[in-house]
Amino acid sequence: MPSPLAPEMSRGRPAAAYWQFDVADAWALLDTSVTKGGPGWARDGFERFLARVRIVAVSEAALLLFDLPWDRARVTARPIGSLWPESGLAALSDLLASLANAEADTILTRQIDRMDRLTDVVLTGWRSSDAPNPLLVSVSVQATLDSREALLAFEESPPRSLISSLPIPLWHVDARAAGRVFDRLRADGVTDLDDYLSRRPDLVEVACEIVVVTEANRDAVELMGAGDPSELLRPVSYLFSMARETARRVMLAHFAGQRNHTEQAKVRTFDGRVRDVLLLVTFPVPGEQLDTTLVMMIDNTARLEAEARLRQIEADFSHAARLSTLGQMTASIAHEIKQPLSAILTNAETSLRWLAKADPNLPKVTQLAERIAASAQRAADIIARIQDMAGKRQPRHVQLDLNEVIREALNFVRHDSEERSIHVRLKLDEDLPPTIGERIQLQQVVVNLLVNSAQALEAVAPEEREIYVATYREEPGSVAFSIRDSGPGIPAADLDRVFGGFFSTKEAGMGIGLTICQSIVAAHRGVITALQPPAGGAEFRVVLPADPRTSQD
Amino acid sequence: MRDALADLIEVFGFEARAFGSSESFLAAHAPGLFGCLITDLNLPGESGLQLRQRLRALEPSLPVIIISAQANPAASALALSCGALAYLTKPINDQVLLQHLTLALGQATPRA
Repeated sequence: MPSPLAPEMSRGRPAAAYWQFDVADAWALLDTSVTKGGPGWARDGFERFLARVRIVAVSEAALLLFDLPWDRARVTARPIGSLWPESGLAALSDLLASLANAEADTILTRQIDRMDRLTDVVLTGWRSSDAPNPLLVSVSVQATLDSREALLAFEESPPRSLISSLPIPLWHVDARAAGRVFDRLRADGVTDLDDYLSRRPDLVEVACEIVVVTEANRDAVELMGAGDPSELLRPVSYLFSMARETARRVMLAHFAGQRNHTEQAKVRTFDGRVRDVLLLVTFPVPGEQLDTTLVMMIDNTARLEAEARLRQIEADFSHAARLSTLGQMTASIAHEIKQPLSAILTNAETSLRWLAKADPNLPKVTQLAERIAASAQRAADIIARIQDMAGKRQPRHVQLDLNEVIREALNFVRHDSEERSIHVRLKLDEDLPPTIGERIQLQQVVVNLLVNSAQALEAVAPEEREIYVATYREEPGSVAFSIRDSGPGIPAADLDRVFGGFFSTKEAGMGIGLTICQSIVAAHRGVITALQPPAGGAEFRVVLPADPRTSQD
Repeated sequence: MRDALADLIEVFGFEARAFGSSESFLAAHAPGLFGCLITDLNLPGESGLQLRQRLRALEPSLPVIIISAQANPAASALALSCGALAYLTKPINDQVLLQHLTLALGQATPRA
């Protein structure tokens, strides 16, 4: 097969190409029409003329120049109007018509400034006196290839030029032998190949042997664990070694005249590994090179493994952030647990004192014992909540009330806020529709934002430390919450960077909290934004989709 | 905790009244009505310390015992310098509370 572009052409130098036309029918038209050639044809006239021109021969250079398929048989069967650029048709028909009035061996020329990628085109036509058929006209086309245009066309052109440069394993396969078998079967009256194959399953084997790989790219070689491309240039049987069923389905697609066939498949490589791939087969249609069926494989294994690893890393990261937040809240947590413990202790001591008296107030002691039990339960709940937050977990998405998520998160930081004299103001929309999400993860986001705000408020006098938490409906189909503080705020220039990771204005800050918040919000198909509210301070808004099942909007 | 303390004080043999906030206490306050005030530092609204300040004006001789979950020396020093009789940290040691109460109420032994 000649190289895609002859060297002269790729350097933009003139190239010549020959066409031979049988103009008998076309010239016959000239005799009957009012105008006999020359310039000024009515449009209708020249099209009818060209429709009667038959292509007898065309040189390889012409095929290249006109960017036509190699299959000459196909080219000569088509009307010239579909093969030549429209911008050249008028000149060609004029040339051919003019030759009708010229003597044999007269050379006429026509020029065309630009015909698609070709510039400075010169058409030279003549009728040879010693040709077997006097009505055979030869036309040579000389042109300069606009190299930039050619390159663009080259890149867009059919796969023959792309095989080495695509970063996807790609095989060229010659499936014509199978096509011929199908033709014979059809001639024998077979219409349902699936049925036929059930009765003659050996045909699948045969097909795998007669269909051969003619080219394979570097990525294909790598995928198959081969050392050399030549190892791949053999019958396609090896591609379907693990999946004869796949081969069968490809055959069915071929038989049915489908353009494409895709399916998930397993492939055994030459070094014994099994790869999960997405198999894509594209069959050629008339006009394209019929000897080239494209087979591509997109390796799923690597992709699936990478996705799984990434999910694991995200989960680990998220977990680490939760532990870090909990670590920061140790004092809060200790304080929270102390409350029920203190009550238990005091109530127990009171009970003992009663029981030590001569006349114990037993109903009172019973009441105290009940209070002890209740306090112990409260302590257990607090610990459970913390363990929940600290645990490594598989996310479970359930229907949630955002208001509850926020209230629970506030519980975590309540003591901390009180310590720092932070006044938390709540404005929760009680009619908020539910959302779907992972409770602990969303709490993590809220806690993170609250902790950040609390830390920002260190910079402000105690009596001015405020955090505003609100839930609201942003637009139909979504719910939102915002957390605003009365602190120094975030500089406008940093508003976009805050989620970028390792951004922190705190001395010991690691700055991973907001990145995790963003990744959790994104996983919930929501959006988190940092703002500079007009009243000052910093504000974070999170919008989440509402549960579509209960949406009333 | 409020109820627990009230019950503890009663088993000591004293009478106790519990209030949910500084404001509700002040609403019920009249000089001489109470023998001692036990208050948490952390109150909704006005804090325990602020309450102590108010009482300085209203009834300077009323003994105040402050309790808190924070074992913060700075807070305790502050409380004592404001004239609190004692600063106790939770969980409250009942024996210690009894001692302070007794001192506050000026009685050698509680009624049995």
